[in-house]
Amino acid sequence: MSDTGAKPDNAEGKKTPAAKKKNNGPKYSGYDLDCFLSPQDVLRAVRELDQSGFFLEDISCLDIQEGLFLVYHFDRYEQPGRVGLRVLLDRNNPEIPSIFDIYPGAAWHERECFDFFGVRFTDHPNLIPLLLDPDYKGLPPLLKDEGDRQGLEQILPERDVSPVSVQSQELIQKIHDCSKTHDRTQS
Amino acid sequence: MNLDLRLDTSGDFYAQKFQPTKRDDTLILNMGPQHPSTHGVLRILLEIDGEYIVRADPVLGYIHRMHEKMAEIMTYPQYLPNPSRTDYLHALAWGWAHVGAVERLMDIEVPERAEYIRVITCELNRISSHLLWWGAYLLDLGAFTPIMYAFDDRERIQDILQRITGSRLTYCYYRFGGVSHDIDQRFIEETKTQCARMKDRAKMFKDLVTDNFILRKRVEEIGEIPLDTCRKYGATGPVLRGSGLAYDTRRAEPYSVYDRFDYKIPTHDTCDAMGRYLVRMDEIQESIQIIEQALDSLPEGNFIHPKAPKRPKPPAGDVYFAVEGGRGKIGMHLVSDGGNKPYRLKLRAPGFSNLSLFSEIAQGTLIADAVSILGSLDLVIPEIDR
Repeated sequence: MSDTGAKPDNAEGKKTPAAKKKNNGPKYSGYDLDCFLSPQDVLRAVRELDQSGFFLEDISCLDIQEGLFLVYHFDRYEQPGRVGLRVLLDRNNPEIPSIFDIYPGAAWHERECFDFFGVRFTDHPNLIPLLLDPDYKGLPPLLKDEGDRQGLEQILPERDVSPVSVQSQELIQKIHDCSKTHDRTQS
Repeated sequence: MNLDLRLDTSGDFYAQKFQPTKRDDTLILNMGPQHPSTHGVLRILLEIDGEYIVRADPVLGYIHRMHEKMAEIMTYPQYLPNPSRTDYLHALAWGWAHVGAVERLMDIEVPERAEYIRVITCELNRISSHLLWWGAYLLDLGAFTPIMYAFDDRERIQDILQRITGSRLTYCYYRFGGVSHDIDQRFIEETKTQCARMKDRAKMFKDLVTDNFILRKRVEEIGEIPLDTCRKYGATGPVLRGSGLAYDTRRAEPYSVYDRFDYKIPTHDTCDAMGRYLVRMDEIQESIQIIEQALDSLPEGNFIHPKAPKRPKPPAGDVYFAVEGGRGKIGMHLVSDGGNKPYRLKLRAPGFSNLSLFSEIAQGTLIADAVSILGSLDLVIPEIDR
């Protein structure tokens, strides 16, 4: 028993570095600008996006070992280019300011995250269940079991996950210049 | 005797949340979940002053099936039939978004012929989707005959697609790296015949319905959506193009072989229900253009890559893949941890964002006009509820 139990472990240990070498990620991930923010910087970044003419595509959330991981997707009509804003929240206190005041369309996306992950958006005008039954009493359904959770390193290998500061002029310039960098058909 | 109806009906959870209001001469009314004009189980809470809407709030979730959870517990091929169950009217586009996301993450090559077949079938499906919207919208507005004409054409398209895909509505045709069956000469000929027929029918549709005085009274200057409102709510598809902006995922974020075809992105800058109506009618013609060009230049080759993985195991990482569906931008955010199931699959439904602006534009309109506005958004509730 102990033999068979040890083998997959070893195999996995060998596989990881090899997989890492091979894995340079996809040619184009669909993101033209992808940045990690700290929760208190989100409003400022979203305001910047609003002024640059972006619209909100959706708000996605992930349950990982480090906590709840929100991903805001923005795109632009006139000068297409997708921006992903990634924010890591504390699992025990998943709170983040609502962006409803800037994008009223975010109200439903935020309610969906509240439904499925229990993320609380402060200053949301109407944070009640959207898709789930209001009488549902269980845990948010998309939260994973303790053992199934993966860490950031497993999901986004070799990525710099330290939050960038919104104060920096560099980021604001990047947001402003963001445009589609890759044409799938030309590759 | 208590004549205030609001005090007699406390209502359910959502009705109670909707109650607080400063006015005492209004009435709270439920429209749906089984109202014929909501096309599926959509409920809208209305506060009305006579015939006028003071506030409106859609209540969703009546056919929520947790497609995102299903993605996490099924392997990639097991999930293939699922996306077409979300938006059953433009099922192929949803299937494409799914296989496209996996192909992007794994860098799977799709043979040229397969890309052409995808374009042809997806555009055929777009036409049938717009036809059903056309018939059903006019049904909402009180015209019964047009849906019969729409179904005549729709059935022919479904017959064509059925021979190739094996189903009539919830297609599961695209595979990772191609499609499940090749198209044959009969498909090509039938499609050409149908395209020619649709061009003729367009004139009849215009004479019979589009130029009709009664229809114009119901849709012109109704439900005006300014461009900035579209942006604030993330509206895409014909709703956005009916407000005058030529934004189309096929052009803005080119995927597959769409950049090889010559087609226009129809827009109308009236911002009203008529604008959205005309955009969809024009789009049927543009889709025919694309299909005809694709059929003329259809390359030989494989319909699926010979080395395409049957049981994909994408590397860890995340991708976003978007396609243009009949209702707007369909997006899939796929996160993989290297296993044979997605770690997370987030579905962006265009109808979800399009419907969310309804509360704002319905304010101050007549109930009858709200029906017209709802229809002009082209809602497919299973897609919104997922």
